[in-house]
Amino acid sequence: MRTLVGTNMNLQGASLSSVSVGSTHKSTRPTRHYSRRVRIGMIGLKSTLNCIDNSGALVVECVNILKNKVTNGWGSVGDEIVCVVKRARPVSAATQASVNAVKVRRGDVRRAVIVRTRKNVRRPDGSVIRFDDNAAVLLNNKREMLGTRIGGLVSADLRMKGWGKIVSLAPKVV
Amino acid sequence: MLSNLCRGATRLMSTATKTTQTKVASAPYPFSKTALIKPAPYTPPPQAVREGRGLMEYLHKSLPTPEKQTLLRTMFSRHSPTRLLPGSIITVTCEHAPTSFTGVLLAIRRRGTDTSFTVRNIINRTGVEMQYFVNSPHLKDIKVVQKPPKGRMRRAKLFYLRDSPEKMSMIAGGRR
Repeated sequence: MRTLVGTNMNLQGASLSSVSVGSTHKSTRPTRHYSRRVRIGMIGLKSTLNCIDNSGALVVECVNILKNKVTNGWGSVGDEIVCVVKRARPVSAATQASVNAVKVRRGDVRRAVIVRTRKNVRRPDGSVIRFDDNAAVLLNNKREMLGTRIGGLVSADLRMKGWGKIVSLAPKVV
Repeated sequence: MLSNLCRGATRLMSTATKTTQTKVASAPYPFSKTALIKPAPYTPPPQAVREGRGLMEYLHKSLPTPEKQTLLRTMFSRHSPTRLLPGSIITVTCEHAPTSFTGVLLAIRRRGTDTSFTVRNIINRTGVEMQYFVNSPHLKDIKVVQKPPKGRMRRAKLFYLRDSPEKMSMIAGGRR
């Protein structure tokens, strides 16, 4: 009986000490001992996003998330990222000559803002939104859009993060 | 007392067409709009609840507002004749913008006060799913636009619709 009680106590002690959010049995990252889960968005290194403006890019690949002291390298809707253009629409000579819109090419490194994610995003009222793909809109270094039109749906969380111009240009905001 | 007077006065002078906000939650005195209604006195929870017995049941009855409780009872209980069925087309109205979202009800997650449901739609060639929590004060109204095809779907959770847009369009097309 004494040994049984002893083992029970040991087990309890072990379980208490190993309780931490983000259970450690798989990941090699150091466990964080506060109760809020940090990782919210899911766009990180090597994530591909569709480019939905008319800058010429079709698919961009994320290289870095800017201003991510909190999210540890993961981006969500409204976060600014640095990305590489993986696929772009072919730029003809005529459009090359005209100065109307900046056309990007394959291999360009640009900044972008994430406008849709496949990962759920929580709204302040508790509701959750999820899209079927990841999408971004290209920007220049001054946080202005490169293209002039947006061809697709954007998330309404952009407005909260300060991208009102993009929200106003979008044909549909959900 | 004074706050009640002010409340009554502003109600008289209000010209807003919104009725839901100005209506008192439980319409205590339906025969006069200017009657002064004292707020219900605070009743402490029964002794059993304070000791911890029957706590969750008490919370399920007390936490949601009366309108939300009727909503839960009529639309989200398992046996109500007017319950929401997955596969029906739903319009959800919110208080903040964007105010309404229509789509196919994919799943209902019944957890008492945390009950929520997922609605899916394809907007501008992109699939969008929204999960709404029933007890949220921002959720104003849920309307059924169309019942599920053939009366019911054979699944409680229709997540397979994420991979087959043709089945989604079959439901939306209104095949009975």
